[in-house]
Amino acid sequence: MALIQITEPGQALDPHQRKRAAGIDLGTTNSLIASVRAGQASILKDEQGAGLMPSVVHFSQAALLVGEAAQAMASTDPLNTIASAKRLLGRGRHDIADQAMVKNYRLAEGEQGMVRLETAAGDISPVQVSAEILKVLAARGQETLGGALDGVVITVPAYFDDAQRQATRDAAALAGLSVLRLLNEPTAAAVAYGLDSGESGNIVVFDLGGGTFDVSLLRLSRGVFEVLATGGDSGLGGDDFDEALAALLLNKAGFSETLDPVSSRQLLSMARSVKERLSEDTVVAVSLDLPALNWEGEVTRIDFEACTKSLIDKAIKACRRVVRDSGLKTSEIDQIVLVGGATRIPAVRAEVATFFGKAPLTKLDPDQVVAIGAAIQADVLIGNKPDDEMLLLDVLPLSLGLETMGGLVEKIIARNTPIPVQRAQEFTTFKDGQTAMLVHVLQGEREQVADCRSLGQFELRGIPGMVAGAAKIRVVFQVDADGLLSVSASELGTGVSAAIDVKPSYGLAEEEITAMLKASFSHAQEDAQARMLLEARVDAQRLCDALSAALELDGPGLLNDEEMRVLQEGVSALVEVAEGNAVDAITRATEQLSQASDAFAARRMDREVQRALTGQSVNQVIEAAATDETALNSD
Amino acid sequence: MDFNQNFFELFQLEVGFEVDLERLRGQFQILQREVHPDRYADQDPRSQRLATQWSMRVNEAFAVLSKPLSRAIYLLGLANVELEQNPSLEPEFLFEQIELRENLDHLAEVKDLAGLVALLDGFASKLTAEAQQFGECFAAGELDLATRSVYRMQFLNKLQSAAQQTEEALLDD
Repeated sequence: MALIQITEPGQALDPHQRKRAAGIDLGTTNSLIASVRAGQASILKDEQGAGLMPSVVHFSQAALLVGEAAQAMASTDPLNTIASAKRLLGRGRHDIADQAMVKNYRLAEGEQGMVRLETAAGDISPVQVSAEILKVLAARGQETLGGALDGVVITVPAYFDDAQRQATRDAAALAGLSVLRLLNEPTAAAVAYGLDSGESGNIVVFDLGGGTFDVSLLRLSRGVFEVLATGGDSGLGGDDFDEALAALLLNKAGFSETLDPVSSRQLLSMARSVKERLSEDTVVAVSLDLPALNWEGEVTRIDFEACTKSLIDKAIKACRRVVRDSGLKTSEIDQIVLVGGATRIPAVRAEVATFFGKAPLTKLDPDQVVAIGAAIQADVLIGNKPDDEMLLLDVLPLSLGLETMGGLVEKIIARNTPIPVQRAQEFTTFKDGQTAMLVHVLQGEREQVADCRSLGQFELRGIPGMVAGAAKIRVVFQVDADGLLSVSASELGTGVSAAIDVKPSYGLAEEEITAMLKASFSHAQEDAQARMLLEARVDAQRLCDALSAALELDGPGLLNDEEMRVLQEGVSALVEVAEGNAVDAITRATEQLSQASDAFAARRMDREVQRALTGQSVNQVIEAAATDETALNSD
Repeated sequence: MDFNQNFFELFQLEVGFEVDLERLRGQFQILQREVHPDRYADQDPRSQRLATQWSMRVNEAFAVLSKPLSRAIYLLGLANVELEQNPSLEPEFLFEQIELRENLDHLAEVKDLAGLVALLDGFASKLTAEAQQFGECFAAGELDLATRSVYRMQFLNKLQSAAQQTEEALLDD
């Protein structure tokens, strides 16, 4: 039960009308969309009946191709066919250490050092590539569900840092999607399994996808999924197994020169299919017919395991760290969930089983499990299941800190801290008369600034000149439920302050998004106008309905006559404005009324929280906490 | 939001060092069920911001109360005891710290993982004993003794995290 039903559907909306929500797994290699229909989460398929869509976009002057059609262009037009763009999301040109990406594409540097891909359609950002994939999936959702999506949950690797998360959000904005939550992929997988079995216990999710590796340890109890620890390697995935196998094939063929892009791409897709066949067979015959070389021979599973051993070792090492971080022992782990196509590799399964001393679960398709979990969470978040008890408590994947003297990082929030979280730390000046201070925000586990990811920096100016050490500068870090950070700093004596949302660093700059959105609207200017008006009216209506209902219910108890009158008049005024056609005026009036009702909303929330705490809350809360009953009523 | 309520009150627990961790966790879940921003994902941004603030406070309270050292420091704060930055401690205790530190450095140098694990076990039991002492002193109203106990816990805690980092580095080698 929600605390303040500010947007509770009123008379204007049919209360039984389910909202259209979907979960999207925006993968490195493949992407999927799923939705809960008739109580069941399922993958939405395209007209050909395919669920998986290759995360590939082909750019040309003529047309834009996405998915299978784009994939088909990979071998003939590799430089304009962008695959694995997720590996570049939220990255600067200079931190692309991924040799495969450097080799396969023409990478350029965009604004603020952000990476761009040079294509026949101009310089493209990885955010745009992701947006194109999201658009196609959203269209599929719209078609299957019979209308525009009201909200989506998009999954990201738990190991994604702030810049990568922000870039994912930017891609969704560009695709015109309303994001309910960015959900960590392992958590989504646990949800998909958890609701099936309704069990409780400690679950490890081992997710080896196309381009990223995540491992998370979750505790499930009474419908609450609590992430205890998470880790992994954002540069390890099934693609690396393809690369290793491709190198092995070249080696066996005795080829030592540099391959041209076309041959390289064909070799990679050959390697991928050999890899897949090696999961079934122990020996596979290979026939290479590339522009650069011809070779026939065979590869054994043992060959493959030898050349990929270091990759699996890396993954197991991350598992060890996560178990250690969680404070549990491997013997306390009840279930292991496998996610990602690369977990079909027999050696991966065997090593995981050996490390945890337990065979992993494989009941659900490892390619679908993340999207299924995201769909379940989207259905809950959009409000289709108001009585649902499911709650996901996630953690910050990588430590956040600030640069201090000598290029060192002072950690402000440690990794695996539950989110949302706010932490503050006080710093001081180190020189007499110092009037400005650079606040440099970093993410990572290492001590040196150079070894961590720089998320952004800003300057706090106007500190009054004092002797060194006299000024007190308080820096506040806030991380929201999506794992996104904002930072502010102020000098405590004078109140001088500065703040940033660590936003434009490696995603798209705000202006870029606006420009791109405008460009896409200009094609359908009138549609866009009509849509904006409709949206503004719906927002206004929602606010009026909810506020009227709340005023009727709680106004007399929580507001004095004057406050009551002001809000009631505000509702009438907004209803009138919303009948007109001026989008700006409607939006402004909605915002004003929303602000005016802020204090009322806060009072209602306070009261509900107090009720919950003193055990006088709705029955479901008490029932959910049956085992804590004595604790609740101890007063 | 009522910031005057202390963390114990927020969780409906008696103010004191003894805390039933299972119950603390249960209360934490009940509160998060009410205030987590996911409960407001389909609502207006203001409700979501409000929920986020509550949820942050519940997370912070849980973090502080669930660990003995932070709980002890918090209790002293409630009792208006201000901790010193550089407290003076008994020489015997300091000598022991120096010895332990040297021991740790040595184990790191020779990469003796088993020795390190034994050292970590030692830290854990020292911390447990110190926490117990804090609890007794605090309950008896001996705030000065309780404060000294916290200083020793801070020392041990620092050494413990250094040892954990060393262990991590050795395991990752």
